[in-house]
Amino acid sequence: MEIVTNWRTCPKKQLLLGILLLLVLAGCQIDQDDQSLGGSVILWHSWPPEKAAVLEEAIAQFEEINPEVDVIVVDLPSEQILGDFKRAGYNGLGPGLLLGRNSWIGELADDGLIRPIEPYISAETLSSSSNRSLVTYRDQQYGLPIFLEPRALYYNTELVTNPPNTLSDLLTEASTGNRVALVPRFEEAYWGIQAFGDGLFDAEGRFTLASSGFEEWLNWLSNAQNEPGVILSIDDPSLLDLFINGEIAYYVADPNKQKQMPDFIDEDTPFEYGVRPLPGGPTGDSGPLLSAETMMLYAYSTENQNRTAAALAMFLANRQQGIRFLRDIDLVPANPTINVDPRIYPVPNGFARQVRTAVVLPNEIPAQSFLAAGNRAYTSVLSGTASPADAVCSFGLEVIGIMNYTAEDVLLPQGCRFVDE
Amino acid sequence: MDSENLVRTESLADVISEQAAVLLSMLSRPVVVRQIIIAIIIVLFAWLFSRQTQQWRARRQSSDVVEPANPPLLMRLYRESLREIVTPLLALVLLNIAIWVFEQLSYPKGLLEDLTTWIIIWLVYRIIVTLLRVRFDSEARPFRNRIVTPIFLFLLFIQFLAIWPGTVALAQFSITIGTLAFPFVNLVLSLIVLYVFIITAWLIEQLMELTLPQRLNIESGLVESVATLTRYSILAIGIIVSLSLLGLNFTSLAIVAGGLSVGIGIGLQDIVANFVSGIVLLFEQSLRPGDVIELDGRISQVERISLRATVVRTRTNEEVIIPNAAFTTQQIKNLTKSERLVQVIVPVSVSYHSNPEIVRKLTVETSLNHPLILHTPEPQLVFKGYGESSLDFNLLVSIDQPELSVKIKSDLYYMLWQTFAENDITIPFPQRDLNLGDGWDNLVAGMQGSQ
Repeated sequence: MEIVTNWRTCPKKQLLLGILLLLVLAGCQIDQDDQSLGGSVILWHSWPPEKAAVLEEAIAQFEEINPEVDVIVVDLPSEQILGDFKRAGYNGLGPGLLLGRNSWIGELADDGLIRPIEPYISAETLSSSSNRSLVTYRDQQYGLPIFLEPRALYYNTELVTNPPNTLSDLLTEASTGNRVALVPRFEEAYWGIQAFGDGLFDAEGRFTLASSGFEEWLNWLSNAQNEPGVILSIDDPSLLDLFINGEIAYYVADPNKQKQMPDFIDEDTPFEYGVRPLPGGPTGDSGPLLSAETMMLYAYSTENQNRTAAALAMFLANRQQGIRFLRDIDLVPANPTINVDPRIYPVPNGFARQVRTAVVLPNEIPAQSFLAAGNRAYTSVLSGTASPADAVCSFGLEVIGIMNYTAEDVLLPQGCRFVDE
Repeated sequence: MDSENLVRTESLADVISEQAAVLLSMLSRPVVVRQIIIAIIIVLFAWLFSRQTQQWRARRQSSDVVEPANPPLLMRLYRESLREIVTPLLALVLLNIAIWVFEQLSYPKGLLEDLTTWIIIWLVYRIIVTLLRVRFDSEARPFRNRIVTPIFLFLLFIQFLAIWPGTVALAQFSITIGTLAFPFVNLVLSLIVLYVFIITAWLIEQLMELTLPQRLNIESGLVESVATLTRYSILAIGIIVSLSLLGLNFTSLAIVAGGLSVGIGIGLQDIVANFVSGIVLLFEQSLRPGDVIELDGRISQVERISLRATVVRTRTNEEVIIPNAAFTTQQIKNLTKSERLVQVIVPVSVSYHSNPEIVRKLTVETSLNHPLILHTPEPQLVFKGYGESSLDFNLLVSIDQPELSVKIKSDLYYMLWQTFAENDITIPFPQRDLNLGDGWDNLVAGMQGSQ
C-alpha cells in the first residue's frame, strides 16, 4: 500500500515547516552592520518594586529617545536571579543586560557568560578608580556600576546628637546607654580591619595579612562584646527591629536597609535616622567592603543586541539618571560627577562619604570561599575557641590555599608559618 | 522574595507581542540557531531511521513465513518496542554525541542538554504506552488518553517553561475581565487542580464499579449510581477549589448567580429541570443502570444516567437519550426495581376435544425445557374459560431477564406448537354456524332450475 502524505494535512511536516520559517524570519533579523540602535533588549534585575518602578521610568525615557528599541524588563527574585542567569546563559538564552552584584563578575566571566564591556563601552567611562576596580577581572572590565553600596553607621537622631568619629568614642557612647548593634560576620564587619592597619590587600592586590590590622580588630570585637551597650548578633532582622524601635542608637548596615526604615511611627515615638561613615581607629578611617549594583553584557548576544544593551547601560549610568535614582530611591550613584549634597540628600551623603574609604575586594578572589574563611575567624574568636592571633593565622593559611599563593605573595603575622607543599 | 507582589497589568496582546519579541530576539543568536538546527536534524534522522527500519522489517516479514495470529507476550513487546522506542532512543544517543562535540568545540550546549530531558520524558512515555498496549490492548486506551498523555504533555510544558526566557514575564501577567484579575500562574494552577480532580473522580468511579459489586455483593446498578454520585461530588469540590485558587470571591459569585437565576429560570428551565431530575434520580434510586423499564409502551434497558439525560437501549438495539425530567414527570414501569423476576403470560387455546389435564402437563413440561424459564416459581397453566371454539388458557412463566421477554415468548410459541403437533392436540381456529332460514331451500331450488 502506498501512503501519500500531503504537506497540508501532515501535522509533523507542518510543525517542521513552521520551525524552519521561524528560523528564516529570525535569520532576517541577524545583525545588519549599521551602527543604529534597534530591536529588543532583555534586561534582568531583582530590584524591589519601588526601586523597579524608578528603573521602568528611566527605561521608558530611553525607549522614547530610541523608538526602534524595545526593552523587555524581567524582574526575578533576588535569590534566584544568578542561578537563572547561568541556566539561561548556558542555553544561549540569557538576557542582553543583567543588573546584579559586582561580586558575580569573576564567576560569570570564568563561565564565559558575560563579556568585557569594550568595545561597546569605553573603559574611560569608569571614571573613578574604585569603579574600575569593582568591575575589573583579569585586566578587563566586565560591567558598568550603577549604585555604590558600602555599609555605614545608621544612628537614631532622637537619641544621638553627636555621632562618634572613632571606635573608642563608640564604646563610650555604648557605655552611656546609646547601644550599638552590629553583625559580627566577615562581610558585615570587615570595616574595622583597616581602622587598625593597612587592610588585607595593598594597592597592587597583594595579600598583606601581617600588617592588615585584622588581629587587632578581632581583639577589639572580642573585648567589645563584653560591654553592656554593645550587641553583636548575626540575627540582622532583630537588630533592625531594635533600631527602629529606638532600643539601640547605632546600627551598621548597607543603603538597601533604608527601604525597611519607617518614615514615621507615631507622635509618641517619632523615628528619624541619620547616616555617617563608620568610626575610624588608631591607624585611620574605617574601610567597609564596597559592592555595587552593576550592569553586565551577556556573552552570546548578537552585535546589535550588545550595542543596544551597552547604550542602555550607559544611559542608566549617566548623570541625569544617577540624579533620578539618588532623588527617588536615595541610593549613591556610581557616577562620580554627581554631587551628593548633604543639605538635599543627608542620608545618601553619609554613604557617599563612606565610599571614599571603602575597600574593593579584587574580583579574582573567589568571594564565597574567602568570606567563609573570614567568617570562621570571627566565629572562633567571638565564641572563645581561638585567640585573635590563631584565628588570623588560620584565616591566612586558608586564603593561601584558596588563592594558591606562594610564600612571596603573602606576608604572614609572626608565629604563623607558611607550609609550602 | 522582593518582587513577588509585582503583577503586570498589560493586555494579552502586549504579552503575546512581548513573548514574540523575546522569541525572535533569541532566534537571532547564532548560538541558539546552531543548537536548534542540530536538534531538528537529530530528531528527524532518528525518526526517518526508525521508519526505514520498520518498512524493511515489514518487507522481510511479508516474504517470510506466516506468523501466528496471537504471538506470545514477549514477542509482542519486542515488536512494539522496536516500533515505539527506537526513535527517542536513537535521538538520545545522537544528542549525547552532539553535546560531547559541542563541549569539545566550547560551544554553548545548554539547549541540547535540556532537550535531552525532553527526549527522556518522551522515551519514558513511549515505554509506558507500549507496556500498556501489549498488556491490556485497547482497554488501556482511556487510561492512556486521560492520564499518561496529559501528564507527559504537562511535564514537557513545565520543562519548556523552565527553559523559556519569557516565563517570568508570563508568570507576572494577569488576565483582566471587568474588575476581576486572574494571575496567569493561578489560572494554570487552577486548571491543573481541576484536571487532578476530574481524573481522581474518574479513577474512583472506575475503581468502585470494578471492585464493589464483587466485594460487597451488591447490584452493579446500585454501584454505578453511587459511583456517578461520588464522581459528581468530587467534581463539584474540584470546581470550588479551582475557583478559589483563581481568587474568586464566593460572595460576589453568589450575587452574580442570583442575578443569573432569573435568566436561568426563563431560558434554561428545561436544562435545569433535567439537571435537578438527574440528581433526584441518582439520590432516589428509582432508576438505576441495568433496570428494564417500560416507557411509552416500549421496553428498554437503562444504560447510564447522567445529570441531564438517561441513555436507554431498546430491544432493537437502538440507543435512546431521554431527558431526565421525563422520568420524574411521567409514569414509568420499572420491571426490575426491587427484583428482576418478571412473569410472562403466554395465551394458549386448544380444541374442545383436548383433555385440559394433558394440556396442562405438556405445556408445563415444555416450558421447563426452556433454559431461560425459571423452575421456581414453577410455570402454571391457568384455565381462563370456555371460548367460542376453544378451551382458553394462560401459561404463566417466570423469567429473570425481562429484556428477553419477547424472545422467550416467541420461543415458547414455537415449542408449544411442536409439542401439540406431536401429541395430536389441535389448536382450533374460529368456526361459525350460519342459519339462513328459508333462504337455504330457495337457494338450492334456484341452482337446480338454472341447471
